[in-house]
Amino acid sequence: MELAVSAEDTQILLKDKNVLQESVLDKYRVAGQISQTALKYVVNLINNIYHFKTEERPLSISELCLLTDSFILTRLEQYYKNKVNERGIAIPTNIDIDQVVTGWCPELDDVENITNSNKEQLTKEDAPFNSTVTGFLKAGDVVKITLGVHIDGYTSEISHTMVIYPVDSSNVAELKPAGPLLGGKADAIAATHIAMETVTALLACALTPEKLPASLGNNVTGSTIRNVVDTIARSYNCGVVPGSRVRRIRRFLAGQNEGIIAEREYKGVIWTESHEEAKLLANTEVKDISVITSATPRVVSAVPTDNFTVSKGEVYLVDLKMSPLDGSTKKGLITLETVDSFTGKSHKVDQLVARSGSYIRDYAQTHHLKLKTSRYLLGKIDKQGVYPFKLSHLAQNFPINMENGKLDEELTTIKKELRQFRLGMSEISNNYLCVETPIQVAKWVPWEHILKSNNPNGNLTFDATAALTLPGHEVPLPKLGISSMKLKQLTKSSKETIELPVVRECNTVILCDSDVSNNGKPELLRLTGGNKTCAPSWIHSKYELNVQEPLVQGIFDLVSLTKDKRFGISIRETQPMKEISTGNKITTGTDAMEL
Amino acid sequence: MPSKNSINRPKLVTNLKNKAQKAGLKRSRRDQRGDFQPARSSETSKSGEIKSVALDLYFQDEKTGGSITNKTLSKKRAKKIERNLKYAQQRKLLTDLQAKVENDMDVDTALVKKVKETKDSKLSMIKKAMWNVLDDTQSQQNLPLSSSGQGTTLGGAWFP
Repeated sequence: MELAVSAEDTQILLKDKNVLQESVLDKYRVAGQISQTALKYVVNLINNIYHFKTEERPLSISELCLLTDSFILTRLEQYYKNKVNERGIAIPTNIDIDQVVTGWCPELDDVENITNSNKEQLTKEDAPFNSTVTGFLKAGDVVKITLGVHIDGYTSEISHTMVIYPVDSSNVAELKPAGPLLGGKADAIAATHIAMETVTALLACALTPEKLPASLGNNVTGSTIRNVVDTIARSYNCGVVPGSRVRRIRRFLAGQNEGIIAEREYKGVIWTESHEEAKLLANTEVKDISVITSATPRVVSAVPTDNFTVSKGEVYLVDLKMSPLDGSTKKGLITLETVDSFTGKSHKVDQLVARSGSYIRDYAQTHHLKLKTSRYLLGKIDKQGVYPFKLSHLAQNFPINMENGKLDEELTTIKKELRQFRLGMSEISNNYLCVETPIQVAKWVPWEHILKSNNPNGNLTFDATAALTLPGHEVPLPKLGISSMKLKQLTKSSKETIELPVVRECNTVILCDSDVSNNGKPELLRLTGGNKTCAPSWIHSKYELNVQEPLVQGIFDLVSLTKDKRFGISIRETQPMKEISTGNKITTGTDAMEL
Repeated sequence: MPSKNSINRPKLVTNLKNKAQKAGLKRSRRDQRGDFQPARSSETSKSGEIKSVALDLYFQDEKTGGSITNKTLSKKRAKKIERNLKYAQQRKLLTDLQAKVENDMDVDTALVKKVKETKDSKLSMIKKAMWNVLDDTQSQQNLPLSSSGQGTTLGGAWFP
């Protein structure tokens, strides 16, 4: 369905409101600042619980998610009150552990369901989803924290990976990790961190293309970004997980609706299974052949391609996810499996059974709801906007008032209110008024298994439960003609399929031209991320970048450019707010907070 | 027509006629039952073919049996059969000609075949190329990785 919007309104909404000027930049900056602070807040909470062990009551993942969301809203209260129509949480805080790629933000009342339907994960300490199901972390876990804030639709998102270490308690005054993280997870952390820094520097070069190292071309294009990221991933024996993207974001179009609405003029690089397939065939004579010739979609500009040039005054979301490939010597495809709550509780160790905690409203759907509870709930949801939400965000007691120190009581009240919301939500989602944001798990399937498979139906099978896909990328393997349904089946049927740990870093950056930047020079403003907030954990990877390669040489040149204050490229980071405890009972350490 | 009880009503004629009618009826029933037909296994059996007395008589070469029969073939019907045969001959010639023309235009038929072939071979070509790539990389064992040097270390001995 295409929404009818007049040309004038389109001009205002898509063009004029996205012109980077002082007021817009300030909204972005505040949103960035709050997300940075919220990340610091949750990281400090996790450190206090698992490393410093200063919290008397360890909080579970669902509580951590809710507290962070609550923290964000409390912080937002102080900014742009009554000045903008909408401001709030852009992504409910997700805390994904190891193999879970995205979407893990269980509700308070879901904890029991999760433990009941994943008993197999609880019995074995080394089961892949053990920490995810118990809700408590353990040493060696790679934890990805994702959150986002928007003010008037100007969105900043952040995702950072931290490691839970065994603590070296020889010196009680100064606790420190027992040692660096080694192995595959360390490779992925190194690759993702380096790729993130490189892409940020590359985007900064788009402001002054003349400074771009010669081996990277004349302009910053989509294919440059893809090449750089792929090279770094390959050097560290990692694979880029499908769903990674480096894309332009606009007001209210921050990638939260991908797959639900087809966004016109999509500008960005995305990584999918089909790119992996194309890469494999890149140097063969059949690279241009494909079994499926997709019919030209109605809105061609909604289909993401690498054929674009990054330009000034744009805002980019750099969302990179990588997985180590040290599990097997074979070549394989990294794919995502969507977790659901209805696939049989089969006691498989490699299967997670859960329902998604967050939903997103699909405004293209209309339906007259029968239950009064549903209508009441939908009224609340519609007020909430186009961003994903959790049911507990709609509760009366949210944001949680933590000044009275009765956290448990507050949580119980929210839990009670959730029961009523669940009833309403089932009617709303059964009629497609809201879509669940998927929980995804990274899986690795050997190519051999895919090539040997028999696929008589071609891509005719249709997967109604498939996770959201971008237009033009509905078929995961177009050259082999394998549909998402078939791929799902292949992933399940192979004995060699393994789950991959995933590392994720996600930053939002603004390419400010000289007219809006602070010092009058074009500069890249890093809304989220950066060394102050998202410092990498202590890891050691046995791999390194091969300096002999010309592209890698270009990457090193870029890094030296960012260090050159005078002739280089300038990158500025948004700093988290100084004081992050809001009089909470749960305070956070402020030692790491000097600016 | 004289009444049933009249003196001079013709008795013999009607009786004979009735008798002949009944006999004819019986005969035709036996005929329909196939009592006079050759067995289905015999060569002369016409089982399953269209039943036509006129055509049978027309194509019958020698007159079988000298006995009386009520199967006749009028001159008019014979003429019609002859004419139809002529038309059938002409139709056959036409279809032969068309078949010949179609066979000569082998461009069309080849095109139809080709489309099918390429559809199959496209997938097989891709699969073959993929197998080649997989075999190559599996024998090379990840060459481009350089793990000879110091490796990469990030962060340090603190909790960020």
